[in-house]
Formats: sequence, C-alpha cells, structure tokens
Amino acid sequence: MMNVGLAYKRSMGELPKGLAFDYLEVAPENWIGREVEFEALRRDHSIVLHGLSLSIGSVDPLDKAYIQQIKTFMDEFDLDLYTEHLSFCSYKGHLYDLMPLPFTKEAVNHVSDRVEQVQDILQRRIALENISYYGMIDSEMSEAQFISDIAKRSGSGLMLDVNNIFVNSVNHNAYTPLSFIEELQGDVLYYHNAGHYWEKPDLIIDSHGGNITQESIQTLEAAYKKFGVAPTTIERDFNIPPIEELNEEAKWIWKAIKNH
Amino acid sequence: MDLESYQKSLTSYIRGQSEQKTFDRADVYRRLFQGNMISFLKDNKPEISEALGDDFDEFVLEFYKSWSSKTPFFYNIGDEFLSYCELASQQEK
Repeated sequence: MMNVGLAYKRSMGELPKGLAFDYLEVAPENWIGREVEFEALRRDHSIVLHGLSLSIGSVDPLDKAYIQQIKTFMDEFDLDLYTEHLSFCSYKGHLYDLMPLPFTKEAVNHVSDRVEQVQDILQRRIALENISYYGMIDSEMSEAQFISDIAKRSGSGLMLDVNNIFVNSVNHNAYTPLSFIEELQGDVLYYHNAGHYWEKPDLIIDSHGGNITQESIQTLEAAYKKFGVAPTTIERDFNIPPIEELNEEAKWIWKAIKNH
Repeated sequence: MDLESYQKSLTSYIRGQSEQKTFDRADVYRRLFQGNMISFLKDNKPEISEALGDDFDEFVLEFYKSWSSKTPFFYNIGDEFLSYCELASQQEK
C-alpha cells in the first residue's frame, strides 16, 4: 500500500532508515539507461514513475521509441503507475519545460488521441497532472472542464497537484481551489503537493523550493473528500532541507489521510 | 490561433527567436527556461563554463536559439551541448 511518497533526486543522496515516506517517485528520464543503479533503489523502495519529457500535448509526433523504453523499464522493475503532465514541452525539439495548452476542443481531441496511443503501448492506464501556468491563454472552456474532458475521452486517470491548484487560483483569479475541485470530474489516481514562491501579490511561481503550505493541505483535504485518498507525493527540487524536515512534512500528509 | 501556431509562437519566444509574446507573462517562461538551462549546463559542463567565463550564459542562450534538442533524457542534454560547441568551434575555424 502506497500512501505518502517523496519525489527523489540524486542530490538527496542515500536515504536514511526511518523515512516517513512509504514510496519514492522518480523521473524515468533520469533512470532509463541506468538500470543497474536503479535496481539498488528499487530493491529498497516502492517506486512510482513521474515523467517530464512525454510532451503529450505537442504537435510533434509522439516519440514511440521512448514510450516503448518506458514500458520495458516498467515491466523489468514491476512498476504499475506512470504519470505525466498535461502540457507540451517540445516543438521541433525539446525545451525541457512544461508549457500550457490552450483550453480548446482541438487540444482536447489532440491530447486524448495521443493518450490512447500511450496507454496502448504501455498497456497501462496513465494519469495526467494539472500543471501550474502563468499566462492567460486562449480558452473555449474552463481549465477543470478541459482536464475532465481529456480524462473522459481517453480513459486516463487524473493526477492532481494541489499546490498547482492554489498557484493557478491566485495567478488567474478564475476560481478558488474549492470551486476547481467541485467542477473537476474523473478518477484521481495520484496526488502531488509542493511549495511555491510569491514573486508578486498576483504571481506565484511553482518553484518546488519551499515547504508545503497550509493552503495546499486544505486543498488536499478537500480533494480527498471528493475523490478519495490516493498516493500523495511531496516534491522538493531546490533548497532541499535535511531529511528530518521532509519527514515532518510527510506527517502533515499522513494526518490529512488519517482525518479523512 | 490553432494549436500548432500557438506552440510555434510560444516556443519561438521562449527560445529567444522571436520577441512577439504569445500571451501576457510569456516572459516568465522565457526567464525560467533560460535560467534553468544555464544552471543545468553550468553544473553538467563546468569545464566549458570555466573556459568561456562571462560568455558562457550568452553561449547557452545561442545554443537554445538554434539547436533542436532530440533527447528526452536529461543526462544526454550535456552531450548535445557538447556537439553544438564542437560545431560552433568548427564554424569559427
């Protein structure tokens, strides 16, 4: 049973005993091709894959060779869950950044078709994450409807990043975290939580560089109430603190699960 | 704007190939992307960073303006950068 996970970075080094996390999340882009090293990590931990380079929304052709590599990796190490971002990160070449898609019917159809292809190759249901975004993009529908429509059309699950919900609610002032959750439809298979950075009163950067916040915990509790509990990962990419501090954050999530 | 035009416009702006913002705050993406890539390549290719000194950041930005990176794997980005450096060096000769 996986409940609370840590997005693991090599810079975190060897993890000590007594972790408050019961699984690790890793990016396949950092480990495919380094199977010997991964085997040691897998031996000691349950693992979830969270990808960064699939570029599910790009108009570039799907990189099917890469998706096949993910399948082989998942089969070899007996991994069940692969999640990705509902975004695009390439156009005639990778930019290694998560760029937002317009909330349009064209994008719903385009992404849904590609998700079906990915799920066919992987022989697994995937889950797509609601990303944080900073610009007001062209829209024919709300963000929640966009995400829900893709999940419904493609049969994919949802991956809910509760920090991103809060960040977007401030940056775009189009919804509250609770109204977003109320509108969203689908099966949540996985959650993220992370910290952020206030650049201006109306602009938060999803930095993953600080502690998770009270607002994101409240959003997580509301999401648990509607969608149920699923594995929940804490992300920390910068200013990585001692593991004891991350363990304390994990306890906040455990408390939210127990209160559910 | 259709999906392809939108993606072309936004990535051109972020790469620094165009100064036409696709939407308000597109500059946030350019700043984050450029900062992340300079920092990543500085960590991964310190010998090139040292050799180029103050010119390193500008060189990385030129790399992303003109190079079409094909690898989904982060550990290969440094090698693509190295290929670009070799190409740039040959062209200079």
